[in-house]
Amino acid sequence: MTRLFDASVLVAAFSRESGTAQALAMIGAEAMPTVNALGITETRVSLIRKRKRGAMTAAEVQRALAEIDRALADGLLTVVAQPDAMWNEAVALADRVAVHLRTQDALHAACAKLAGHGLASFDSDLTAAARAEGIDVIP
Amino acid sequence: MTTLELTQHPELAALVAAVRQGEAVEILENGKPVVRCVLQTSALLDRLAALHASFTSPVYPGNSVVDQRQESR
Repeated sequence: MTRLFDASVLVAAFSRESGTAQALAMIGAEAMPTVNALGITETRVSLIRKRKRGAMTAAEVQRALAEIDRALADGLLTVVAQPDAMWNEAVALADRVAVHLRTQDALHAACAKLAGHGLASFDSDLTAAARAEGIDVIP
Repeated sequence: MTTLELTQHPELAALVAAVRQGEAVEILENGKPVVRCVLQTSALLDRLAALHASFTSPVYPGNSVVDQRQESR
């Protein structure tokens, strides 16, 4: 099954966090790790945020951002299309699930659901909502 | 870029099956390697390992994205 990786996994993979080993194991288990534009943007912004908070140096963040660009350019990360239907589905999904989703969370879950993909995320609120929607979730 | 449909190329399909199992397949010409096939994720993991090795900042204790999301919920 193709699986959509969200920023909580991607940032753990492209920097060093408690869940880095687990993130790498999840990526390693996929034939073609898949992302969407929203997840890539959130990953880039989150790395910049880590620099601003002093958790990473400017040079480290630059290298991580460059590696993301290189992985995308070389097709090592596959970018899934975000259909127009995703916007309305995100609203409907946020209404259906019991979890209090943010807009971005609802968009991620809607994107995975519409594409028929599974989801990889360390965010327990997002994974709870995705499971409630019948989306296959790891970890 | 040239694309090939595996079902039309049985010999290539066998090589891809080996790569999917994690094996690296090297193609030689006159005894010299010209093409090396590895799983896409293997190449990505190799790059990430090199990236991590270049970092000196401490490991973030937790997940920064989840922390950031919790702050905005």
